[in-house]
Amino acid sequence: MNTTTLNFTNAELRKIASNIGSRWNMRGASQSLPDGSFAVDKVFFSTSAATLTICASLVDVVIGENPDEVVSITIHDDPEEVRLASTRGSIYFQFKDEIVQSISVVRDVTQRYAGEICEWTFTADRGLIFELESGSIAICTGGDFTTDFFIATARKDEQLEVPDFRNLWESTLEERFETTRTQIPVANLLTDS
Amino acid sequence: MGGGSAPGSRPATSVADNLTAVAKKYPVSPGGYIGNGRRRGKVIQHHASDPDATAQDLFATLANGAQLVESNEGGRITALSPDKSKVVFRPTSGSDGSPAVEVYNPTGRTKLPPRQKIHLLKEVS
Repeated sequence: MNTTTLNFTNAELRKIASNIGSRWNMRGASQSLPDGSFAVDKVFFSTSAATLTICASLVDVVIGENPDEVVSITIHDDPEEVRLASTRGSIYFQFKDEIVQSISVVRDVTQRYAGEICEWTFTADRGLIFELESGSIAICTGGDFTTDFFIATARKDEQLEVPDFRNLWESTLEERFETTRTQIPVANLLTDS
Repeated sequence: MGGGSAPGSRPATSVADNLTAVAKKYPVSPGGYIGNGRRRGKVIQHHASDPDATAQDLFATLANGAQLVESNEGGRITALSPDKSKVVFRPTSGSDGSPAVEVYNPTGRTKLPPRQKIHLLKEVS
C-alpha cells in the first residue's frame, strides 16, 4: 500500500505550540470575504507570543500510482501578509486578550479502496483549532484540492462547526474512498528531535 | 467577469443553481461534467476558438450569485456560493498552461459531481 503524508513539520508544530498560554490578539487575511469567514491562500493569527501565517499551496504528489495536485499547508512568518491584511482592514479581534488554552491540529486521512483492498493512504493536516477562554476558532482548508480557508468561530455555549470538505472525494463503482478526521492537541504531536 | 445576479432572477445560492444557464452554452453530461472534449477522471477538456474568453465566460456563468475573492498571486479568482460550493478560475493551470475552471460541490445534493476541473483548449480547425 502506498502512503503519502503532508503533515506539519516538527519545527512548525513548535511554532504553533509556542502560542499556548499566550494571549490572543487577532487574525486576518489579505484576500478574504468581508465577514472573515473565507480567505484564499493565507490566514494569519497573532498572539502575545508570535504572529504566524498559515499558507496553502498546491503541490504535486504521487498518490498511489498517479500524479495529482493537492493542497499542502505550512506555517510561516509573513509580515507582508499581516501588513496587507491590516491595510485592507481584513483583521478580526474576536476573543482578543483571552488566554490560548489549547491548539489542535485537524488531520484528515483518506484511503482509496478497490474492492476490499486499500491501494493508498493520504494523510494531510488541514487546519488548526484554537481553544480560548470564551470560545474557539477553527481555520481549515476548503478540502484537499483548493488553496483556500474557511474560518469558523463559536462561543463556549455553541458547537464549533469545523469546516469539513472530505466528501469532495467521490466514490464510484470502481473505487471507494474512506476518510477519517482527528483533532490532535499539538502538544501530543511534538517530538524531541 | 464576475458574479452578481441577473436582473429579475432569483440569486443563486449554489453553483448548481447555475447549471441550467451553463447547459444553454456548454455541453453538460448526465453526470454534471461540463465540456465537449475528453474526460479523464475529474479532468475534462473543452475546446474553443478563444480559450481565454471562454474560460472567463464559463466562470462568470457558474459564479452567478457568488462572492468573489481574488488571489494575490497568479490572477486566480474564487467564487464562493452561500452553500459553500465554489468555482475557481485559473488563467493558467499548472499542468499544461491552459486556462482552467474548477468546480467544487460539497453539498452532494445536486446534479453536479463533487469536483471537476475543466481545461479550456484551443479548438483545432
